[in-house]
Amino acid sequence: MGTQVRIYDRRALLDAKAALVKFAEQVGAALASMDSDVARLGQWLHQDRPSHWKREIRQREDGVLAAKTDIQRKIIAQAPEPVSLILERKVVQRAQAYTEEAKRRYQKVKQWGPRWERDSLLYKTTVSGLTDAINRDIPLALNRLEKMLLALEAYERIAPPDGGDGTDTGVTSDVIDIPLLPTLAMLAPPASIPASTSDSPDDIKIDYATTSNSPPAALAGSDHSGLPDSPSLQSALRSADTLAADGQGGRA
Amino acid sequence: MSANATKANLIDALKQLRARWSHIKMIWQDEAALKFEQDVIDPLEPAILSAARGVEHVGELMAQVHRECGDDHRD
Repeated sequence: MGTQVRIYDRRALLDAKAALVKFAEQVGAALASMDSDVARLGQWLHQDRPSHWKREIRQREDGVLAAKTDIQRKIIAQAPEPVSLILERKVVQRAQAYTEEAKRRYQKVKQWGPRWERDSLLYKTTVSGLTDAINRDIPLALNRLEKMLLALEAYERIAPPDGGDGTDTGVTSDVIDIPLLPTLAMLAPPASIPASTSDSPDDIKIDYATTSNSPPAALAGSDHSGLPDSPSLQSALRSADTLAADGQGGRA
Repeated sequence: MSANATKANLIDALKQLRARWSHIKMIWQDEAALKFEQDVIDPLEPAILSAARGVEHVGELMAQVHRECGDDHRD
């Protein structure tokens, strides 16, 4: 299959990296904040609330007792005359309602404790796909982009797009329209990228017969002196030598 | 940060990424770009949406816990 790399500007790869980094930062910060809130609520439920409501129940029961004591004190103080206890009884009723409310909330705290453990685990499950993407997939994708950049950079060094003297590397060239040379075999995703895709860059074959571009002469010779000493470039050169030999054989 | 803010930030991050990727696609047009989009960019959308739903749900639960276990308001 004849395949061409068609990148009009290598800034595309840099922009893709920047976009992914920013995305990972934004999402990572949002998830970290939410995780923190979830964990904090768990602590609040397990450590703060039980003691808080136990204390409240005691204090409110004391309030009920005090209100009842006030009634008794008033009865004794007014004896043997009848006294109106309407207000005092309302105070007692209100204090009892407060106490019951505290007891209800204490029961709720006891119910929510284990439930929150389950719900927070469920929450972590629902965000695990995104967490994996941030912690695993995006770093792999960044690595993949970095390899593309290195491959493109190596190609630009050895094959100036204007076919000139090699001084114009076209680093920010407007159009880089090149056949997919072996150098770009490095575009292949890392091994840990899901292998479900059938048309990975590894599978892309170079078909010079179907493209107007032929391997750059700089790649086809054995004299590579003066070229940058980079592993990717050396790999490209070795592959190009092989291809050039094959291509000559095929045409012959 | 509230659950609503977290959810909004997640959706916003996805929108920004999509917008930038649309721009990138104008200057990167080959099979590698298409494959990169399929492998990396596209799977992020369902992940974000699932996470946003999870955040929304846990946010509702948090509000319920605060209502039921927080301090009541005495006269």
